[in-house]
Order: sequence, then structure tokens, then C-alpha cells
Amino acid sequence: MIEILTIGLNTFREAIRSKVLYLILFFMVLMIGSSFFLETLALDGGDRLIKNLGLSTISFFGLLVAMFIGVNLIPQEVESKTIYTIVSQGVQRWQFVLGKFLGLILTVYVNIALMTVMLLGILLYYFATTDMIEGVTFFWMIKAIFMELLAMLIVVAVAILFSSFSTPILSAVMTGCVYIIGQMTNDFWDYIRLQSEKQGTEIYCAFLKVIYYLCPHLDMLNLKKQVVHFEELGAAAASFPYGAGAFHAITYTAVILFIACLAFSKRDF
Amino acid sequence: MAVLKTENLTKIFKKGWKEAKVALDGLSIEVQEGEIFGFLGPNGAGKTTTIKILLRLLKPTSGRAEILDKDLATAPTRLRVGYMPENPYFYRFLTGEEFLQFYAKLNHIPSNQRKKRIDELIETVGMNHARNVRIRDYSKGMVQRIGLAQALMHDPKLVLLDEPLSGLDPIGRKEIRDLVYALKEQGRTIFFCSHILSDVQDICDRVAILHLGKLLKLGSLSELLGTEKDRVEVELKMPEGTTKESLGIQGDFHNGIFKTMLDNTEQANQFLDQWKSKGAVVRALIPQRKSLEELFVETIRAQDPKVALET
Amino acid sequence: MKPKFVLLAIVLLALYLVGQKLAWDSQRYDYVNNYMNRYTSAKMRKVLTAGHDALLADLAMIRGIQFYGMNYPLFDKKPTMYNQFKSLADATIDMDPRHFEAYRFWGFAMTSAQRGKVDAYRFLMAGAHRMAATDEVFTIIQPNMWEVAKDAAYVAEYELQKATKEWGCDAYTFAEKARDCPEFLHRLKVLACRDVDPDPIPALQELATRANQSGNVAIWQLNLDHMRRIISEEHKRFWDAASQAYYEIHGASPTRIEQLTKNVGILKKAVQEYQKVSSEWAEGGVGQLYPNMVNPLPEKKGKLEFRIAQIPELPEDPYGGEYLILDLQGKPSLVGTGINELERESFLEPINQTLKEYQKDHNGECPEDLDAFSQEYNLRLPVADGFGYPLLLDYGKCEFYFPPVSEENPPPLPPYGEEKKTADEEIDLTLMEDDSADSSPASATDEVKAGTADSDG
Repeated sequence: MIEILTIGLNTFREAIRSKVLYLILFFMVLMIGSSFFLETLALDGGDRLIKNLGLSTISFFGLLVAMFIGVNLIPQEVESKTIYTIVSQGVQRWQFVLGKFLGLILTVYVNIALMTVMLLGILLYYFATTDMIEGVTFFWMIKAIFMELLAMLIVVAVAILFSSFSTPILSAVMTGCVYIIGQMTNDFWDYIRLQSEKQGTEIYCAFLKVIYYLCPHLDMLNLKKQVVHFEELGAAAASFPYGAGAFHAITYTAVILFIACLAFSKRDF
Repeated sequence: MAVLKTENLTKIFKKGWKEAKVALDGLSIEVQEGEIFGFLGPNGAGKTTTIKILLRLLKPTSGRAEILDKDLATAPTRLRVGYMPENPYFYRFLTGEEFLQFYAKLNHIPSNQRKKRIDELIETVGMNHARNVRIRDYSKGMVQRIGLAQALMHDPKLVLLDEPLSGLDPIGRKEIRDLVYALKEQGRTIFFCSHILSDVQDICDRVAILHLGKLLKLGSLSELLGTEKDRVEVELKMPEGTTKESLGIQGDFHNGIFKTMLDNTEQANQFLDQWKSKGAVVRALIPQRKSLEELFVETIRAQDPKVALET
Repeated sequence: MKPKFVLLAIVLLALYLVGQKLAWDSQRYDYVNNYMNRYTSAKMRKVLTAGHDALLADLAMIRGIQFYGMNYPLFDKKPTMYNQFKSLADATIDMDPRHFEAYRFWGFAMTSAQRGKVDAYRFLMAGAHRMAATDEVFTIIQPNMWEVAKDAAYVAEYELQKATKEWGCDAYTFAEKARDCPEFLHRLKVLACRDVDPDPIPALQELATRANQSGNVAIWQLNLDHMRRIISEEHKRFWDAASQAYYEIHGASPTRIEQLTKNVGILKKAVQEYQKVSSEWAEGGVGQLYPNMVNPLPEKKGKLEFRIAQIPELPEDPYGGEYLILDLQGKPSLVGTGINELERESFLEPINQTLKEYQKDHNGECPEDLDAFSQEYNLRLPVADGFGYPLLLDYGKCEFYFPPVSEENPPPLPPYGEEKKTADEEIDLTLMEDDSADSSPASATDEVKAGTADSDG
């Protein structure tokens, strides 16, 4: 356990000392800050724009961190041969993978935490200047960001998985693809349903279903619209399966990490 | 007692469907406790592959490898082997001290002893002046030294050094070499990989020469070099009027000075007697011990006459 | 340089230029919106946003606002511009089907083009439906959906001038489903839906129910006012028919209401006309005549009850339910104000006029049998006036009269319509053909007879 923690903290330290992170952070601040000005352009949906832009930024830049920092972590260690020294000192490979995962998720979470503080600050200011305090907005925001944290588990785990056996660029592309596919599994399911109504598509549908079941369901964890549309209804009204979403995120991450550990353990350097 | 032992170690890399490259071909070596073992070979000989197998970064295709009397296939993972990679590119964002702390934590050194251990190591490798400097600002020699400190963190019995002297200036080389001696005095076994032969010649007790995955020679330096140590280099100032053709043997003849290599002392005596009587003056008479480099070249040439060697 | 390379460079350059030309040709007259229209379906658009569709919808809406600001005067002149604007609207709501502000903005913006008004209604109604139920997961109707539906109704009623009658009613009916739908929308709905179904009964019933459901005095009062409005519309319909009849008889328009009320023939004609109208929504048009159904001064917070009129089951009633009591003034409250005196006269005048006609027809005789009289002249004789004084017949003058009103001589009968109120403490809006009221015509004749006998003696 101490190995995982040490490697994780070291990875985190590496990330916060890298310039890429600050570049990403800068653009995040820029985007969330810009919601403040864009809000004046959107008729009376200003509050909505701040929320949308903020949440999208958090989600999207989480992906960017995973893509640009995450996919480099393992290949870089292999290239710089630090992995040799770490393994020679008795650290097992799965510990190494989990450590990297921990470090990356820590980086992403710290990023998200900073952005959340900024976003809530802007919302507070907005409410203060427009004389409309909506406690329920904050409740939903926190909930959406919490689900975003869970979604990030999946994204980061996928990035680690691909980087454990593939090149950084390929991993980044694949991670991006998984993110996009994950966001549209709901639509994908619609498509499968439409196809299955036709004649003679059983095999095709079975194939699609296999893909569907392999995909992460990030749209299950995407509460961006609910924040905007369902906050008036309160928590009980929108019967969204939060528990199922959280369960899916955690189990999916666990499986992905297991595969990553396995792939990395079998790998020759 | 053998600290490191390989038996018939073979590694074949597959490239594509049919093509395969033999990286190691039946390597069997044994490294005794307390010795400095030189592991030699040109680039691509299979040195790094061997080390990777020993560190379990690669799985051998066949054969066995043992470290500290434990079979690598079944041994527990925590083997405590110190390893310093070739051209290390460590965590550049860490300072020297943070870097060592990282490895200290990985090795479960309790936090109260950690500082002491790091101080010790920094003292050992002489990096006290740069402990709070980030590694990206280190010179190459400093990186090598901090890498060595890292390899010693858990007090390993066996230290694997992969090209520890490459790319260093003469002072750096000497420092590292001194460190290696110091390690030996502490009772550690050192497995020293290199293609820079003069370094190995100075410090190694035994060497193995590897080429294209095959072990060519294995033995102590005296065994490998000692039998051919009576060659003599002769330098004479010839009397006026001597021509190169009249000398009868090969050699450099320039400005009346003749320089040649004679295979043994008898031959040399003969040659000297012959020419002294004609008025030649002996300028130098140097006994030539066959260098490891020559041995290396010879050995490899014998194996594969066409090979182009870097020296 | 070798000629081969020069050749290759020239070929490459030519290919490059051709490619650029093609790209230019295909893009010159195109806009991004067109591309989006042509190459991506709504679903595709949503999918491509990868979970950020709400944000994209916001940005598209900002773009839409800018586009509208720059181009709206051209919408009628340049159909392409309007179409682009509309496709941007569709793109926005495809990405976020619950974008409340987008519906309202585009709904408003489309009406600025003549061609866009029907689109605006359809867009808003589609929006209301989508906002109400997009996902199976969220079964609860969007609380503020009503605003979109209300906008749709506004477009249907004012922008389109009720070109399609059902639209306004549909929109309001849908708006009602929203949780936060305000009270006034129900009343607007009732009024709008009367364009579709002119039957006043369901409307009145609904308003009465709403009034009773609400604990709010103001809302109660507003519902009551709307009921009055509907009733007065019915009255107007009736009086219009009466005026028409008057015009047909006299060849001139009436100048005073009395000219209509005092003429039985005119009233009969008006009744027939009104029945013809009401037969559109009620079978036979019989017994559906209710210009007298409001009680104008119900007690505050009293329970409004609306009962459907019953046809009196009296075999001896010769009029087949065609009787008429016009009471707009309500119960008499003050003595000597003159208002009720006038009312008495308005009661008496038609009866006495008919009496004179009877005399003309029967050689100046006064009718002995009042039943036969009222039967023959299709007249209904009231039991009493608003104060409760009975209707009496002065046989000598051959004239009906009510006893004079005075404090010393209190009315022997309860005031008109009072007995229902005192019976169950309800404000009853049906002052007509109720069970209790139904007995009055039959008994009225008896009373009149008794009155006649009295005066005889």
C-alpha cells in the first residue's frame, strides 16, 4: 500500500510541477471566467450559461488532463528507465499501475476542486448581483460535480489502461474516443433498438450489444442538463439512478484497472 | 557462493510472424559474492537484455536465472537488487533529496530513519552540495551519482551497474570508479556492464565477453590476458644508410627510427643483438601486456570477421 | 534541378490549386448552418457534442440572438435567411430539448416574419411537449413548461388571430399540465376553449370548481367574474337574437331594452333563435336556455355550485320548458330605491300587455281561467315579485298588479329565489329550472287564482 501511495504522490508532484498542467489550468480559468461575460449575451439564461460552461469545462479539462498528462505517465517511466529502478527495488507492477492511477486521479481531482471553488464563487457573485439566491442550484452543482468525479475515475483508468501497453499518442486518441463513446451510449442503445426492430439483424445487433456492454456509461454520470433543468424539482423528484451510476463508475474503474495491471504485468520492456 | 547465476539463458524476440531475433543464446554465467564482475560486449550484444531478465522486466524464452540463490521464476518479488540504468533520465522535477526520499519510501524505510539513511547515501556519493537542486539542473556525473545512491538505498548485496561510466569526463570517471571500489570494500557484489573496456580492465575481477547473445569468454583478467603478456615493443635509432627493405621485418620506419612489435622476448633479444652490433641505438624497450581491448577485438573478430567494432 | 522534380512540383501545385478551387466553389455560398442541415441529423448533432450538448445549445442560442439582431428585417424578403435562422433554432433545441429560454426566444423571434408565425406556434408547442417529457426517466412535467405553452397560445390567439380555433385551446390545455401553472391560465383556457366548444355549461362548471377549490378570496372572485362574463356573453347572444327579431318586426333597431322585454312575440322569437344556436351543442336545444343563471351577489367565500338545468317534468306545463325569467338584477335588497319598482313593472308589463291582447281577442273579457290564458299566450305568470309580494289581478280594471311596498305591510312570501339559499346555505347560480324552482310555475297560477278570488271578494 505504501508503494502505491508513494508512487501516487510522486506522480502528483510530477504533474503539479509540469507546465502542461498550468497551461490547462490557465485555460480552465479562462473558460470559466468567460462565462461571466458570455452570460450577458444569452437573454435571460445567464445563470444557465454559467452552470453549463462551468460544468462542461470541468468535464472537458478533466479529460484533457487525463489525455495529456495521464497517457504519458507510464511510457515516460519506461523511456527514462525509472521503472527499472522501481521494479528492482521490489515494487510490483500492479502496485506501480495503481500508484500511477492514484497520482493522476489526485491531479485531476485537485484541478476539479480548484475549478469548483471558482465556479461556485462566480455563481454566488452572480446571484448576489441579480438578487436571486438559489440554494438548490448549489445542491445540484455539487451533485453534478460529484458525479463528474466518478466519471473521471473511468476516464483516468482508461487512460492508464491504454498507456500501459500502447504509445502515448495512440492512448490519448483512444481515451478521447472512449470518452466520446461513453457520452453517447444512451443514443447508441436507441440505435440498437431501432436496428433490432428490422428483420435479419440479429447478429449485427448482438455484435452492437457486445460493444454497448463494453462501453463505459459516462452519460449516466452526466448531470449537466439535470442541473439546468431539474433543479426546480428537488432531489426526490428526478428519479435519477445515482446509486447505479456510482456503482457502475466504481466497478468499471476496478475492472479497467485490473486489466491494466494484468496487461502491464505481462508486458515485456 | 554464487550471488548471480544464469543457466542457458535464452531470449528470442519475435518480430512479426516469422522473423525472430536471438538476443541471448544460452548464456551461462556465475557471479561470486564480493567480486566486481565485468559484463562486456558491443552494442546489441545482449547486455541490457540480460539485465532486464534479471530485473524481471523480461521473461526468458528458456533457461534459468538465479539471484541470491533464488530462482527468478518463483522467487518473491522483493529481491533487493540495486540497479543503476544506463543514461538515466530520472524524475527531473525532483530535487536530489526528494528523489532519494521517494526511493526510501518505496523501500519501507521508517520515517525516523529515512533522513539518516539519505544523509548517509548523499555523503557516500558526495552530492551534499546539490541535494536541494532539481535533477534537471544536474550534470551528467551528478545524475550518475544520484542514481548510484538510489541503487544503494535498500542496502543491496548485488548492484547492477549498466554503463555507469559512459558520457563522463575523466574526473567523473575516476569518482565513480572510486565509488565502485568503495562498494566492493563494503562487501557488495557488483555486476558491471560496459562497452568501454579500459574502465573494466582497471576495476573488474572477472569479465564475461558477450557478442550477439553468445558468451565468448569468461574468466578472471589474469586468465584471459596473462598467457600472452610477453610481447615487446622495440624502438631503435638505426645507423645511417639503413633502408626499410634491409630491416626484413614489418614496422614503422621514419627519420631513421624504427618501431616494431615483437612476439616474444627471445625474438626481441635476437633482433636487438643483430642490430646493436651494426651500431643501432636502443631508444625504448616496452613489454606489452595484451589489453582487454585487443582481446575483445580479437575474440569478436574470431567469431565474426566482418563485424565493425566501436571502440 | 532535375526536370522530373520540376514536373512533379508543377503537377502537385496544379492538384493543390484544383483542390482549393473545388473547396472554394463548394463553400462560397454555404454557411455552417447549411452544412449542419445537410450532413447531420438531429441525433447526430447531439451525439457529436459528446455530453456537452447543453453548453453547445447555449452557444448556439447566443449565435441565434446575434443572427436575429442582424437579420430579422430581412426574414420576409429572404426566405433562406429565415430558413437558416429556423434551422439554427432546431439545432439548438435538438441539443437541449429543455432549453426553456431558447423556445421562448425563437418563438418570439419567428413571429417577426410573416411566414414564421405558424412555425412559431408549432415550435413552441413542440417545445412544450418536449419539455414535458423528454426522457422516460423524468416523468415529472417541467414546472415552467406552461410559459412556453402560454407563448404558443399567445401566438395562436393574437399573432395568428385565431386562424385555427383549436390552437389556443390546445396550448392552454397543455400548459395546465405544468406543476407551476398559474391560476389565471385556467381562466384563459376556459375562454379560449369556448371558441372550440361554445357550450357554456362545461366552462361555467370548471370555473365554479376552480373557485371552490381555491381558498383564495381573490381567485374565487376572479373565477366568479369570469363566470359572469360567460353568462353575459350568453345574454348578449340572446338579446342580439331579440334585437334581430325586433328589427324584423318593426324594421328598426330597438333603442331601449324595454322594447324587447315588453314584447312577448319578440321574446319568443329570440328564444327560438337562441335555442337554434344552442342546439349546436345541446341535443334538441331544449331546456338549455339560461340567460338567468347568475346570482350576482354571492356571499364571500361561499361555495359556488353550478347545477345543470333540468327540464321540469310537469305534464300540464304547456310550454315544453320554454319559459323565460330574465333576472340580471338579482335579489332585491333595498326598499324604495326604485330599482325593484322598475323590476316589478318589467314583470307586469309583458303580462298586462298580453292581457290586453287577450281582451282584444275575446271581446274585452277578462280571462276567467288563467291557466288557459297563459297557455294560449305562451306566458308564464310569476308567483311573486322580488320582495315576496304576490301577483294579483284586479278584475275590475282587468290588470295585474303587485301590492305596494311598505314597511307596515311585509311581503307574505319569501323573496324571489331566497328559499334555495336559506335551505342549504349555498350560493346557487341556477336560479332557473331547479327542482324547487320548477314547482313555481304550477303553483304560481294557483296563487294568482287565489289572488283573483281575493280581489273578487
